[in-house]
Amino acid sequence: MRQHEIKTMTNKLPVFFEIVFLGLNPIEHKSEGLIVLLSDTINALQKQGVLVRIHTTGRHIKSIKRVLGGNNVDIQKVSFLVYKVEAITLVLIHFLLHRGRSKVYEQKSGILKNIKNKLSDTLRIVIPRIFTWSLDLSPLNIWFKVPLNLGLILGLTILICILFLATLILLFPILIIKIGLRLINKLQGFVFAKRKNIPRHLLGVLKKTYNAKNRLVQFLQWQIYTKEQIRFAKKINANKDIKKLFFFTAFDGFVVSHFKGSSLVTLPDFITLVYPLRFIAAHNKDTLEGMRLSIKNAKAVICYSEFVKMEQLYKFFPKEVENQRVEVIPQGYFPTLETSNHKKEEAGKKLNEKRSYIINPFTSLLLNPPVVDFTQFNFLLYPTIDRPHKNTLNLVKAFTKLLREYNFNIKLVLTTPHPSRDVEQFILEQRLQYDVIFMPSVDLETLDLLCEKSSLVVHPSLAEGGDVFNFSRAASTKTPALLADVQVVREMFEREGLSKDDYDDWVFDPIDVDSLFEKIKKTLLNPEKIIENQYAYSKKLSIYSFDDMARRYLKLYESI
Amino acid sequence: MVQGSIKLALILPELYRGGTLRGAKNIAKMLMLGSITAGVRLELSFGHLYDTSLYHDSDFEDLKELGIKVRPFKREVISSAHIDIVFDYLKKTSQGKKADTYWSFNDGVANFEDCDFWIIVSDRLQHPIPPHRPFAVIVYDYIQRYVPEIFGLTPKTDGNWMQYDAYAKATRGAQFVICTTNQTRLDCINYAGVNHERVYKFPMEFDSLNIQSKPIVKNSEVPPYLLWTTNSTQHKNHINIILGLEHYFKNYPESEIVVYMTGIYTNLFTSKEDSDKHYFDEYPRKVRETIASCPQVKKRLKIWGNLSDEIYLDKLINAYGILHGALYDNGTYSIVEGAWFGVPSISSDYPAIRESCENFSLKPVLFNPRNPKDLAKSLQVFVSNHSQIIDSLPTQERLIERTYSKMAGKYWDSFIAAYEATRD
Repeated sequence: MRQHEIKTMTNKLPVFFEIVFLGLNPIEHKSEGLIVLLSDTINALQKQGVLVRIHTTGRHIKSIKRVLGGNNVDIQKVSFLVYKVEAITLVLIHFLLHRGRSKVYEQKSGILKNIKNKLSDTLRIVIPRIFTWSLDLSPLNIWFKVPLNLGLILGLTILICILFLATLILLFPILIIKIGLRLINKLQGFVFAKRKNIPRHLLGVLKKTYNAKNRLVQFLQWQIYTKEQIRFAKKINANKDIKKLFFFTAFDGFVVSHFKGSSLVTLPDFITLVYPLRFIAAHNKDTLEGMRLSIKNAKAVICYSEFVKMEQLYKFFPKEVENQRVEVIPQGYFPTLETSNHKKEEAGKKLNEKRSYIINPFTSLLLNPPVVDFTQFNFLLYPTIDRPHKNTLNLVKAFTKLLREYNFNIKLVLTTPHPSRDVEQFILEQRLQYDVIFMPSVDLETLDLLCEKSSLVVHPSLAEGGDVFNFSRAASTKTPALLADVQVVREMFEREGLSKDDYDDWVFDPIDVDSLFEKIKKTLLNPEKIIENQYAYSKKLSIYSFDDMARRYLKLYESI
Repeated sequence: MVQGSIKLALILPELYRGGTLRGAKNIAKMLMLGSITAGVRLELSFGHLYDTSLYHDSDFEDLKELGIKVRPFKREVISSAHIDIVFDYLKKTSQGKKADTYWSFNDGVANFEDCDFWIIVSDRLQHPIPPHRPFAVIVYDYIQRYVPEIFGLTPKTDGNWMQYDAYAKATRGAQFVICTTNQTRLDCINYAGVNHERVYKFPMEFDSLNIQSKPIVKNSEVPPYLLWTTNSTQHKNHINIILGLEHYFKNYPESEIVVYMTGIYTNLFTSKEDSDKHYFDEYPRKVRETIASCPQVKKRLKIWGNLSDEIYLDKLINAYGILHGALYDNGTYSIVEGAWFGVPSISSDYPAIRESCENFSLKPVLFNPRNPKDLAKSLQVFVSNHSQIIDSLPTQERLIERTYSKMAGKYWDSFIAAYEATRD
């Protein structure tokens, strides 16, 4: 739809681009790809005079405003319809568990840590004060402080004795159980034909119970979330003016199936089904059912790439998609910027002011986050939130080779909030805590500065739903970018007329660390040609902007 | 036929060195070279357990030179509850393939899920492969079918047999099974219960050590010795061999021959106390007792333990003969390696050895491994006809025809035939 037509419509009556923003858990990180894309879409729609309205619940609203605001969306210009249908139980469970998308990223609640910190802070201040006060003897207070101190010493002695006894009483049954298990273990060699290790079996049972508990919690969460979605859909149905909804993910299938109007659903990807062994803890029936319902009941479906449409959507949900309208709308590209070596140096200085973003994920090796001066070293940048398919480990391995075998003065900057387990183990084993820098949830300005200052942006991810943002983000600031040679990347380049020969120097085999290392080394040593070619190509790409992408969304939205 | 390209992963789920590692590397090389000849674009990943104390980058340089990706991984046991959800929902798993737990090979990248097909070396799969992954298993032998002692015959060792049953179950889940001898193929079908249409015999290659570059420099000053290539496991039949040697030395006291035993853990058979935990195991103790009771053997047997490849080859070149005395297995490379250097062999007689002899045109003196007197008799034949036996050895030109580079085409054809025939 053309811009003047939209304006005409909005003059008659306020027509909204209605977006549903739900999710099992509120979004934590503003740098999630989906959120970045949604923000760019909203901004582009608003630029075209389209009114955007977000439908959500009371438990999501705070995080939505935070993450959209963090991506430069003017929250004041967005309408919000907040339905009081939120499941309180989910708020509680989320508060207690604070779980990520996969077991690899599972994090414990910060409540206990906070309580512990506060308690230890209090004790650190209070105890020395009491101690110094009681030792401060003078003729004026000696008459009461001496008996008080004696009383305190006596009281403390009694307290220590009581604590000691209590510990013994508590430990005794554990000791008895341990001895008992050991005896059973010894006995079984004589009694049982099979040499089974009973304690190990008991541990196994306990582990299974723990896993079962986790799965039970997960099951309950999804069941409750399903009910919440249905309540949510009914509330929307009550408003007869709302005839269309846009879903930026496919997880809210129960809303789609219960909504009486037309739904336009985006299907970013089905990565957990492509690499099921990498996403063990992410699998559950309800997520799959949600996706199935979304595909089946939507009026139209958007994929970001032909690759996801053909290789994932048609492969995993052939029946649901059989008579479905599926449109591929690629993501927009960033406009190219004028940059220079001087600007890059300036970026380094500015980044030094953003050092508070650096975190310390390796508390066993570092007291504080690493101290860095961005003007003094080169760095590789991988802007992403680490997930099992993001292939960060191979990048860290290639980086290690560069640093340790070829002695480059270089660091690796990751914008993920936490390393995946594999990456964490590797960094710990190799003692890379000073050279792999974590800068999570940076604002867009800092991200742009990082891109501009970095020597090279590397995107080794095995799969993406659509085009790789990082390419145009880097190329547009004259920073070279290397991408994994995967289908979605090839599609991005070939869609705009490049041949394999044109982009062969920009891609690497993501499985092969050596291939990645060689390409990085080659690019670092001779970046000029790649920068020139990528910048030229980026200029060409930027003809298709986020505004163009939003226009296509809008056209499809209007047509359903 | 496979068109365009194919992605394969060759995975060693256990820590292997020595023959099994070399064998697996040879398979990888044969697949790579074979695919090039066939004009198929093969992307081959070689997966091994991550263990920096056992494996070094240099161990796999030869694979990398051929364009094979080397991917160390950590083994993980995953609960079926997680993975079955997906494939039940998508209706892509059959009930028969399900188990409580599966193995996942976590390489920190794609867990080998980027590959179209996995080849597992060998069948020691303590947990099944996830049911959505098509795979083949390479099986070397089922020694326990013929020598059950190696798994133990007391109630205490029943766990070993249960473990074997788990291996067999996992093997039955494979798309197809690869063997290198007819005998093992029959064992797969009739012992492990694999569908006969899914068990294939692939060509047997020979290139277990880097022998082609080894110059043959014989040292004539050393006394004649038999190189007894073995290891410490029971199917290697040490007691019968020692008794047979004792017979021989008693009957032919004028013989100058001495025997040098080499192989992994064979130091457990020496009388010197060893800190290794296996030292007190029943079988090594029995072997030590047997040696102690045989005065001639005690005098003429020297146990070297495990030797490096380099030293082993030096000892092999100068040997009077190779002694191979196993009760049963998938054959041995040592008699072929001996033939390369003009060293003849005396070997126990069992099906896989006969197949090996046929494959490599070898004519070793064979003996009944369960009859010590037959060994003594055959050894006398071996000594009396030594020069004629050397003359009957195949030439190096003939043996070269069986090296991995020459066998690659045949190996690839066999693989593709099995792959295509068993695709679901």
